[in-house]
Amino acid sequence: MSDGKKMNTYTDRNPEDRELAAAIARDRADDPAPRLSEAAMARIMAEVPQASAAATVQPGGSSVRPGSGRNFGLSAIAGLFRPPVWQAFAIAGVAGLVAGGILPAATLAESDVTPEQEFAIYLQSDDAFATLLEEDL
Amino acid sequence: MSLEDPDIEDIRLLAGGDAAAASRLVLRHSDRLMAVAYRMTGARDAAEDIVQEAFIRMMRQAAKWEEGKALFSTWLHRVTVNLCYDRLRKASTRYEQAAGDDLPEEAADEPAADAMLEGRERGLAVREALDRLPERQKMAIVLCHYEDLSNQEAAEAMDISVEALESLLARARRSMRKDMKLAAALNDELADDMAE
Repeated sequence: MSDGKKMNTYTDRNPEDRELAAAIARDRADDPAPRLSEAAMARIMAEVPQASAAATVQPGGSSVRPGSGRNFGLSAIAGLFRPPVWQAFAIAGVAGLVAGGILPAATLAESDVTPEQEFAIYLQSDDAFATLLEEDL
Repeated sequence: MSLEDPDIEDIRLLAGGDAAAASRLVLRHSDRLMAVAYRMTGARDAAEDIVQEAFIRMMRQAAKWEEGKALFSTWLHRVTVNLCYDRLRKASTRYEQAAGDDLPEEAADEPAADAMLEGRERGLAVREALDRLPERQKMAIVLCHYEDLSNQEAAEAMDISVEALESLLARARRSMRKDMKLAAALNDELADDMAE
């Protein structure tokens, strides 16, 4: 924190608290706080690349780390509306239409199936079975 | 409070993923944060966990740090203070070395043993009195007396007014004095009984 002059004056005015402050100072000297171990330092430093990745991926946004799990649901939903994703969906949709509609029609138009072969296919289909049932009824 | 933050350049660099800046920040602040966490929890492992988490939050915060609102060190202390509270609420951790349990039996035969024992008992009396305080009073004592923060700095770290901090300190000192007097009286009584 700041290196400015310490502003506590309470203990300076009270002899009993001066005693307490002295006892605390002795305790602090007898049992100094340990320093951060090398292992803990290494674990902290291991977080640096992830932190920078978060800063790069989401400038000005939330501080969610990739893969951290926090806010994952919202991020995933929001991700669906990002340009590369919906563009991919649109392209896939157009490709599906082409594959499902236009291509089979073109294939049929250009096929060399004879009327007899078409009738044989019809007989094997569910339509023919339904027609026979109706006729029986 | 001056808003010229001595950490600001390193925070900017850290936001860009500069590991050296992260290292400088950790080295600059880790001792003080460890001291606060250690005095509050009484255990090295717990203190390390707290400080580690505080620095990990620092990494995440660096990219969206708003300059001029507060000193980064104040924010870091505040995170540590809150993590200490969380820890204490989850489990009441106590100093690993209970009174006298780890003293070797033969110590009493050594020439300086009495003086050492007296010093240790005095230290333990302070520590036990500290441990008996409610968490906010304990934090006020740790920040102001163990870590020598000014009242203003301690109040900011605890996110309370200076008046509230002074009130906590006054109550804490009163409780500690009372506990230590009681402990001293009990010790004297025990010593008298032993002498008889």
